[in-house]
Amino acid sequence: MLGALLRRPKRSGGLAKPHGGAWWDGLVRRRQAEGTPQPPPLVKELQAICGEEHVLWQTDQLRSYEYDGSIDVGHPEAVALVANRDEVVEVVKLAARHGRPIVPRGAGTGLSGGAILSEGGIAIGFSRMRRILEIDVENQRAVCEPGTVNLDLSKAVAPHGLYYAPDPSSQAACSLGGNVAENSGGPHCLAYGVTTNHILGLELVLSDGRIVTVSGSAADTPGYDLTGLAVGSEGTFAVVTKIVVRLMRTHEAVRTLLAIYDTVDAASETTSAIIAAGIIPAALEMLDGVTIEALRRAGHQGYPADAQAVLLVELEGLKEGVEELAPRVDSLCREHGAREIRTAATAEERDRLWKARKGALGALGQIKPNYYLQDGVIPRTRLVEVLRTVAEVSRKYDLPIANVFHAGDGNLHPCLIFDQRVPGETDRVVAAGADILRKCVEVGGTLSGEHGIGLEKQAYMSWVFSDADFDAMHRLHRAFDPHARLNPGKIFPTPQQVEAARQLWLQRGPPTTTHVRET
Amino acid sequence: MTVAHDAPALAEYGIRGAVPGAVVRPGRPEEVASLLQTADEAGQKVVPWGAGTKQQWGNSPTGYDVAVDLTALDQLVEYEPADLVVTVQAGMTLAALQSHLAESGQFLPLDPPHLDRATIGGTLATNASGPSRLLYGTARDFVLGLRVATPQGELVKSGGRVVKNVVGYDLNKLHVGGFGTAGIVVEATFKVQPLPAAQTTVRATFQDLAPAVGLASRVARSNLFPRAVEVARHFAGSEWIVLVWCAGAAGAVERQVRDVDAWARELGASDLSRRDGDQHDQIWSQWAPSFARRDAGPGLAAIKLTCLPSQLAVLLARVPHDAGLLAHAGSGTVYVGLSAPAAAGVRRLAAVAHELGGSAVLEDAPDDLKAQLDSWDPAGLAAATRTDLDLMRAVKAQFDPKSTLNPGRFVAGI
Repeated sequence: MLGALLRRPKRSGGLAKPHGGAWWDGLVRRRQAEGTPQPPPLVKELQAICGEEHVLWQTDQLRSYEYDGSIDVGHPEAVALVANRDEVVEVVKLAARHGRPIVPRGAGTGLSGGAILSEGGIAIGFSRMRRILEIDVENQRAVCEPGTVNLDLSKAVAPHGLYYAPDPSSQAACSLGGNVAENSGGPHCLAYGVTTNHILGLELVLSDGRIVTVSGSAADTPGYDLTGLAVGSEGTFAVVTKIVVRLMRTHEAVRTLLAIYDTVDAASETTSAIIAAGIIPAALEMLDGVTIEALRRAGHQGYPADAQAVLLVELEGLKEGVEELAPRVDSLCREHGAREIRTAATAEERDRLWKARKGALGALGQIKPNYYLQDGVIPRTRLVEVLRTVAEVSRKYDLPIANVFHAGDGNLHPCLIFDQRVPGETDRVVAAGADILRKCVEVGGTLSGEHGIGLEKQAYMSWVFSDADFDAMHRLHRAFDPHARLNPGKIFPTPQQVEAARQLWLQRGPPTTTHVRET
Repeated sequence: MTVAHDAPALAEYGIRGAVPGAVVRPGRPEEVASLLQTADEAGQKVVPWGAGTKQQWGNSPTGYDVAVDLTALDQLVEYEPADLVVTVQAGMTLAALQSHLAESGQFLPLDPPHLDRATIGGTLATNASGPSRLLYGTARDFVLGLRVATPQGELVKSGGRVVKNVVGYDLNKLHVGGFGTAGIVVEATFKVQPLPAAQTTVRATFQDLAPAVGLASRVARSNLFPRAVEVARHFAGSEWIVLVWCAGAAGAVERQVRDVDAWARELGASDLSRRDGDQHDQIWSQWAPSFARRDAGPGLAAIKLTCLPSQLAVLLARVPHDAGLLAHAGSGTVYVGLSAPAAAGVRRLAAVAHELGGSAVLEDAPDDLKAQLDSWDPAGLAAATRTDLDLMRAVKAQFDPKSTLNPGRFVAGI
């Protein structure tokens, strides 16, 4: 009952409950009755804007737009594959006239349902707007269309000794527009910050079709930081049509260490110790035994099969600095129980370690077919305690949980592995996930570090925010999109979800440890 | 909570002749929220006040009934050195915070003007920054969470106390640089940094602008990643000074010094020296005040100009020859001090910044100049060139519909 109100974790297909409501059922019935489908009036209008071949509306065309990288499913009425900003403006105006929702969509790799059309409407697909419009080497910035693939940008600027720092695991596929919407992170955000720290300006199309340019050329544009407000707004403020990013200079030296442990505790303690020592590596990632075993089964090499945990530590900078820091990291790892430390000797070896790290989620399919990936963040001093809780939850619910995450940031990715065909297993996953999130909140952490709230975590928002906090967010939302036409139904919990989350909190009794400060 | 109504006390909170009817000094965050609500309901206009070091910035308030002095809210709320995260009340001075952090070998990499007196709240509201922004960024990059008192009488939380957070909208960004027009920050949580293991400064002087900017640009864009690169010229001076703040592991700092030194020689530096220890500290503690920007005396105008970093030499060449000048080279932010400023001259300079892709803000200036120019848009070009001002007004209308907070002092009449 409770689980039904909270979002259900699903990997794909079968169990997923479609959003979209009565119009969808009607549409399906009509199409069945009519035989050869004719485009409805809305689609014809879209075709007039984007061209017939760039509007998807038939059931089989829409199928791949029903999903993203998460667990939810929704049905677009049509997908407009726009070619430029002016088409975006026209599509947005059209949607406003028809009172239909608009959902911008990049590559669809999001992990919280941000690109799912949970209330129907028109998806604006950016797969045709993927040009890098300008590379300004001297000022270390680039201007990109929102469909630009994250890694394509870094590749394009690499000949100039530059790169784009935020590197989500999906960077070979995910788009900058999606990164902006979700304020995406990645392993190397530990030292260099997440997406918001690298976005200099945006061109926005508001839900009434107005075009607004926010900051973007020189530093410190006078006025409110509208760029900072728009980043991470999950597509609910505006449709982004241009992105100005900061590029970073590549470092002359990089050293990648792999510290191998017999216990997760020891790897967690090491992580806390490195940060406490004032060393902020470029990346500090942890993979646990479950993940390592899955990688082994999937044929990835480089991680020792019998390890219970490994830390992947990357140091970057001037070679003199890296040489000075590496022995300190090495001894901190050993002091806290690393049984072995390997250094990637070649670029190929380093690439292999990272490739396995970024492919870890895919490898989990070796264990069971479905997974539910969480994204809680905790203070880095609480890693040992919270990972023990994760292990307890795994035992309590009899679910394998893999941990492969950004340890240095305290950004956990417990990955609950299950088989949704087994009756009752999905409900156990929901309950287990809630227990983990609750622990994150109890120790002073929060629900999501880089994936966003979307449809997936909105039920738990009231564990973190008060009514007054929500009110402030609604005010900001109204300033951008007063009629809530853009990506409706995301981020904020329904009253039923608030109540369900409250019940769930009460039902589990008082917190085991608490960090909630009352004043 | 203390309240003052007597004239001498009120005069201390004056802004170009505007004096409040009362000064309130709340002792608890809840008091800030409730007095804000009371003022809002009564239609009274409120100016939040920290140390007052930047109260001459911005336009004159269109109404001013109550000054809210936040300096009694000066407590360290929570500090966990091993997490590199600290929470403080907004009235604490930046200097006090830095000394707390220094005990654990950490610091907040914000070095705006008036380092000794400026409060956390004022620094955030004005988005003040300094040389270290090159390596570390600006306030928006370190603020993890805020607690803000609203005109509706609420205390609103945004963000949190962890270093990554995408839960809900990022309302921190509304208040950092929001000039106290959308709420009063009463508490802030920061991501802090370990103090660099080693630091030193390389100082080079040049007779000409071109090689000075040439060195600065080369260093700022190199993979040496220094903490700061500055270009400056004294009032009525002819010599260009370049400072490079080297910081990091000891070996890395030596390497930075070596490379900067070699490049400075190549470019014909007329004087080249290295400043360690106390000398290094002294340079940076006196750096800003000795030039244009800060503590502009009477009759002096301090203007902040920005441009694309690649246009720095062009911009600096257009600044009048007798002006004092300080540029954070890597970010293209320039502070100009004009003695005997005239509105036409400021307008011209601001227009140059616009031409080069940037903007101009008149920070401190004599009253008559402030009265003639929009501090946020001295060139008068914003209305014709910017498309974001209506959206800003819409934001203001949502958070402070009766314009209770700092009315008329910010951008676009906000």
